[in-house]
Amino acid sequence: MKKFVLILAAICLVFSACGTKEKEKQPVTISIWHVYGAQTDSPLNDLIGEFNETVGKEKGIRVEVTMVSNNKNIHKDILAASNNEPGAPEFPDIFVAYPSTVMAMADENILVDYRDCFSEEEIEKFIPSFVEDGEVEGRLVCLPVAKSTELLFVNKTAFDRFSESTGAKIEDLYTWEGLYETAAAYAEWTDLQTPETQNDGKTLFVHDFHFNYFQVGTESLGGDFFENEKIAFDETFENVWKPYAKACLSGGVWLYGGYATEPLRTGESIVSVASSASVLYFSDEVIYPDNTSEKIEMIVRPVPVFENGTNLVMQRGAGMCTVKSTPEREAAAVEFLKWLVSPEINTRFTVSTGYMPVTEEAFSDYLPKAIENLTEPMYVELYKAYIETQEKYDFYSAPKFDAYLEIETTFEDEIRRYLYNGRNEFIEGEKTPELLEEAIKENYILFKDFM
Amino acid sequence: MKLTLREIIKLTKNSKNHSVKMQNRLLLYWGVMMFAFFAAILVILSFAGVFSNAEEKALQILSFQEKNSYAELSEQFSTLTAKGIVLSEKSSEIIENIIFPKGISSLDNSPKDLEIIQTILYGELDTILNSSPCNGAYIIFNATTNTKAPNAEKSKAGIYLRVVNISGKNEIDTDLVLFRGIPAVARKNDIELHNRWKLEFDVSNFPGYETAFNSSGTRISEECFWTEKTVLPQTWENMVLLRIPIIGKDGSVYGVCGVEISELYFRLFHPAMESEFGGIVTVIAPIKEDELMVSKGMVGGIEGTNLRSGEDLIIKEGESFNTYIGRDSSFIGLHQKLDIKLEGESEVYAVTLLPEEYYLKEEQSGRIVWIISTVILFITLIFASFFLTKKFVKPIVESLENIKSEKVSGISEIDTLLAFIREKEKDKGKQKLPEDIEELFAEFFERAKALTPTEKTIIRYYAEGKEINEIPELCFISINTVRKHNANIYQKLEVGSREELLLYIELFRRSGRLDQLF
Repeated sequence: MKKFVLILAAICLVFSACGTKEKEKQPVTISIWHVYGAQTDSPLNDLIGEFNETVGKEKGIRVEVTMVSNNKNIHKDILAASNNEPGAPEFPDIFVAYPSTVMAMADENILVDYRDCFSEEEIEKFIPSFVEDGEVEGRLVCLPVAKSTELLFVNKTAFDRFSESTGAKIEDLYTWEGLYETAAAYAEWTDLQTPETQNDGKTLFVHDFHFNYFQVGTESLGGDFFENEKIAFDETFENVWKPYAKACLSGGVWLYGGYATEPLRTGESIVSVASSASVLYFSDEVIYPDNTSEKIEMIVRPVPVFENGTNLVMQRGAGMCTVKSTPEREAAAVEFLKWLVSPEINTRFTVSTGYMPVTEEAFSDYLPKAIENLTEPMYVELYKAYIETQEKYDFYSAPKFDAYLEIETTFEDEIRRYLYNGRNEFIEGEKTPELLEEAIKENYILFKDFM
Repeated sequence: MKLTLREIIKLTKNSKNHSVKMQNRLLLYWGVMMFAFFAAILVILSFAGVFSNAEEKALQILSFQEKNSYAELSEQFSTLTAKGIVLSEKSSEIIENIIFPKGISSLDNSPKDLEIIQTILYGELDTILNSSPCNGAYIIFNATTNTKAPNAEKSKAGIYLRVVNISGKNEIDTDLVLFRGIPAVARKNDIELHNRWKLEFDVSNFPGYETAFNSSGTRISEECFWTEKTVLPQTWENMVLLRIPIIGKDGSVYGVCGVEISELYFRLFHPAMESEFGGIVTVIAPIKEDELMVSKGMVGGIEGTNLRSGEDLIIKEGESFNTYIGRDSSFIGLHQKLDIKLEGESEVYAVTLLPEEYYLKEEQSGRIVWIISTVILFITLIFASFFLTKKFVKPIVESLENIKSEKVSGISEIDTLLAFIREKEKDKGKQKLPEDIEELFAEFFERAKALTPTEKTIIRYYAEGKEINEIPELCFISINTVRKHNANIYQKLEVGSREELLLYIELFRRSGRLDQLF
């Protein structure tokens, strides 16, 4: 009788195991929100397609892109989902974010700690500073998949016209002092092109992140940008402010919102400091308001520095966060991410999007060859500038504290608003150098008091 | 336990003619009863639909989902068409009431007027995008900013807004970008330009733009068409567009307007529904002959399936549902024609698909479960029958053993029966024969006393069944002597023949008195 019971139990076990196996064979579909390509042709989307057709197919994993946007929009939607706001979208399985976004979430523990999914050996393959960048409260929640830095982009075609007429040189743009002086001169020169219309000069320069300019600028001049998790507003900050504010109030700096690629595409600006990754969004064509267009040559250089400052540049590049869900979905997400950071794939991915790979092996064994094979002029320029930056600059990583994101957002919006209003007030009056100096000081005090 | 089916059949056949072990007989009864009970339960459950098969289940799921998909798609597309018609009428009104009164007959080379009109219509597009199941809305005017610009004849001014933060539900706070239009309009409304922004539309790439100008001028609802799926220029996104002409009071066509549904938006708006057979996908696509043109349609959420949005499927019609066969995977599903006007002659269908692979696995797995469960249950019943039978028969067998050894059986009923039989036996011993028979025995016994020892020996041999010719040898006498003894025996006992003698002997034997004769 005992034998019989045992046989029955064995049959039931085998049978139930078969049932489970069948269910496991259904593909696990995971969603991803990323920023690589935004609304253009996305190289990551192509790679995801490749993953789905190869490793994904073999392991029953499908990665579905459900949003390709920019960090700002993803940040907004992640926080809405995190705070369970009415109408907020559901979390994807994977999203791209900076640690500052993670720290602003209602509960950052809903994210997977990659140290639980990657072995020590696997983690050690990453460039250590990139791993540190992705840590929040000792947990590795933003997996580095691509890193970028800030570079100087110049519409050489337009700059050459300005240069021919005024004698301005590209080299002037390599220091902040030179760049802002050139910006003011450009605004004046373009205003003079239409004598019948006053104050219609164009901005030369657009900066993607004014906050980064001040942070890195202050640090490069030996000052402290933050003090007790607040902006220090010391003398060094004021030194960084002066040339910048002068150019802004003179009309040489773009003070609207949005990314730097936008005014470069419309010809409203011709020089920008932006993430290396913005190479995907720059166009080799400028469309003017009269619907004529012009093919342009874009050159890329390392970011400007202060004449008396050190060569310092912001380390950028968000990481990929995985939302805790079911063991199957989490495992599928990690499987995909491991594939994405494998040296060969990671190099292909990063080089096609204007980023740098994240593992030592990819850097040493794959990147040089990938750069050699580049043919598109803008990408060749980009990686030339990248290598120069690596050789000559130190990388600055922003500090991590809870209020960082709030300070950054407020700073970014308000500095533009104050100087935009300051510029309008300035052009309404007599545009004398004295009044300009007064406006620089006045706006500094107003902005400092507001912050 | 080792009773085979053959033995059971044999047992059944012979049970009436031969004595059968009580346990086997009982086992047979139990088995038959349980089997009958099992069969009856199965019949009842089958009639009650408990064992409805995978095909029926799949059909139920597909039919239900197909109805839902059809209703949702009809609602979505008719709502958007209605909104598009309102947008067309408003655009026409604005041109006729704001622009034309300024003495302008054409918007060509009028960047300022184009900016005014785009600024006004921005609000209309914003409202549509915030309240309708779509992710883009546009208006194209039959005019250009600069007729002297290269390719000016193909370049048309207008405004095209797209939603950035699309999701499966209507966002309360949609983030818009300007895909086509004047940047100043974007700045006024604090929105960014699309990464692939351009000032104007290249209508040579715009599906059906020229056709819109061949409007018959009758009802505008007759002029609303959806384009086939195309790629949004310079992006990774596929989309379909609603195209409605903007018609003036005099029938002039001022341009076209409409809305966009991107493939991504469609996927999020129509997520795959989970079922026991995998994800159920909603597809809207034209059908050409026996081919579902998925590549020209839109595919909803594909979670839990291997459906590719670019792969057409061959339709194989079935009795319950159809099979849609692709290159690597096939699906089962249903389709229904939608009342949507598509550019060209094609008809468009709402299609509901389930991965056939999982359906087949489920069907097979159901069958295996069914077979294994039945076998297990049947074996269990046989074992239960055997066990119960053994349990029931064991005390009876033991009690019989006890009886043999003159003990109490242990079963009160058997002990009572046994006592009754023994009592009967005793009574039987005491029972008297009928009087005339008794008298007959007594007289015969009196006469037998006259027999000599030799004659008594001969009679005993006869009682033992010996024949007359065997007697001489047994008694060491001649046959004549035997005959002489026989004659004396017959005389003394007063019998006429040997048969009569043997009859007496038999009577004595049966009444247990044979010994008294010798």
